[in-house]
Amino acid sequence: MLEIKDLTIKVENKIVLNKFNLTINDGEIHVIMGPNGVGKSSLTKVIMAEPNYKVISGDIIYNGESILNLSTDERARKGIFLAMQNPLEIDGVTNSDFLRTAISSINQKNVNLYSFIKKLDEAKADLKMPDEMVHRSINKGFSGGEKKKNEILQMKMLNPSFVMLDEIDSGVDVDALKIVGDNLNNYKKENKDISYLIITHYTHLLRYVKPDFVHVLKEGKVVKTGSYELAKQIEDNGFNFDKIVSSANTGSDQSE
Amino acid sequence: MNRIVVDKDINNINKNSNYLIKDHRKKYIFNVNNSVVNILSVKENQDDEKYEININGGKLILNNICYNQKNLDIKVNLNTEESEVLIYNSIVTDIKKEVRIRINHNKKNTISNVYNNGVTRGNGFIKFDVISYVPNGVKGCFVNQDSKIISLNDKNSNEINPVLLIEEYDVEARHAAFIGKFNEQELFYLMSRGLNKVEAENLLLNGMLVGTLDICFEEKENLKKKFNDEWR
Repeated sequence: MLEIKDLTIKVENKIVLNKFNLTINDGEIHVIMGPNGVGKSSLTKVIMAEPNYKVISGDIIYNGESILNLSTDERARKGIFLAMQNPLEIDGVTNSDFLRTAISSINQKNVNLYSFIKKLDEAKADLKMPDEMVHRSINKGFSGGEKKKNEILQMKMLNPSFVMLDEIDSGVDVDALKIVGDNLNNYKKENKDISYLIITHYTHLLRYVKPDFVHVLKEGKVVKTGSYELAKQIEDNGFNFDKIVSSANTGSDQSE
Repeated sequence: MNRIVVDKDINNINKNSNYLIKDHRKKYIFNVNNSVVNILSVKENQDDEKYEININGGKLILNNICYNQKNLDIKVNLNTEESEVLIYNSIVTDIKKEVRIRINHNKKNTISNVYNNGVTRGNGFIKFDVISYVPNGVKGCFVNQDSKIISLNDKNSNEINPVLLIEEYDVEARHAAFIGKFNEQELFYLMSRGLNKVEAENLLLNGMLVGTLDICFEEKENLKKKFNDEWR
């Protein structure tokens, strides 16, 4: 599904990913962990073609094709979705108008109003979101948890095949986190080939959404790859890189 | 929402009501007496206009949306305690446009909120002059001015002059002003959901000019359609 080859990127003249490699196959769930400032969010932004992030070298292959020359909206229409760490508030633009326009753009045809409302009602109910949110401005006056749920609602409405979740668990209370986790699992059950790339600092979300691979990032590179156990080790011991890398020799996890 | 069409220059309003202004007059006078009044004015390619608004108790909401209209003068007198005015100006222009607003807080605990949103295209440019005046001894007032101009052309003559003439210490006053292009992060957020740049800009323009007005859903939908079909 997604292959990142020797990718080096910079933002504001600073290299944030350095010859980075990662392969995510259809249906896999990958997690990236690491301290603040090691390039985790930058990875999601460069995959989504955020204009401030410049690719110096390397390639991003999606379903067999390089997407480096595609704009943000073209990548979204190919099925790539980024649930953002800090979703923006956009005054005056209602969630309903936004979603209808987005669905029309992705499907390249006008959305059927009846099926749109039906699908939106179901998604709102799944996420336990209030009815009136549809006519409110995007994320305006939403709590931290509501904003994150709104990202998941957009995911469910737009039907992407590759989903990046950038700290979707931050600012979310335990009940909302369970709802988000359940919705991610249900979406995956309904769409077996979709893949998740989860950026997180904690194992909270991973108790609900079980990863296939956990990667630890340091200075723009993956320094270790393992299973869910690696995430638990990090939560218990912090990002002690010497310990994490040296434990590669004793466990089944691998360092790169 | 049923609106009463304004068909005279001087309007004395004594009960809660909604008004619609469509035709052009050089000057409108509204005297609001202990009532809540919502006015929607939709103007296209018209000459200079003046509003004189006297609020003698109650609240007036003025929604002004105009396309290529010439200059606009609005003078508001808040004449009794706790009187309130909200002004929303949404402007799209290919020509030079000046908006001059003067709010006089003549009594204690009065409230004014002014929201100006403008978009310039072609040879258009906008000047917003907003003066809010609170004399000495008029305590407990709230004053707010918020003006924004998005330039879709390369003209850099747009101007916002927020003036707070406050002679009294016991007042809460604020203003915000922005002139420039669309926020890149907002465009990125919308485009990351599949909208191309034109669709994203249209959505932001609609949100800024129509979405912010204090009018009902149906009226907003009609104005959005007009905006997309005729004014974009």
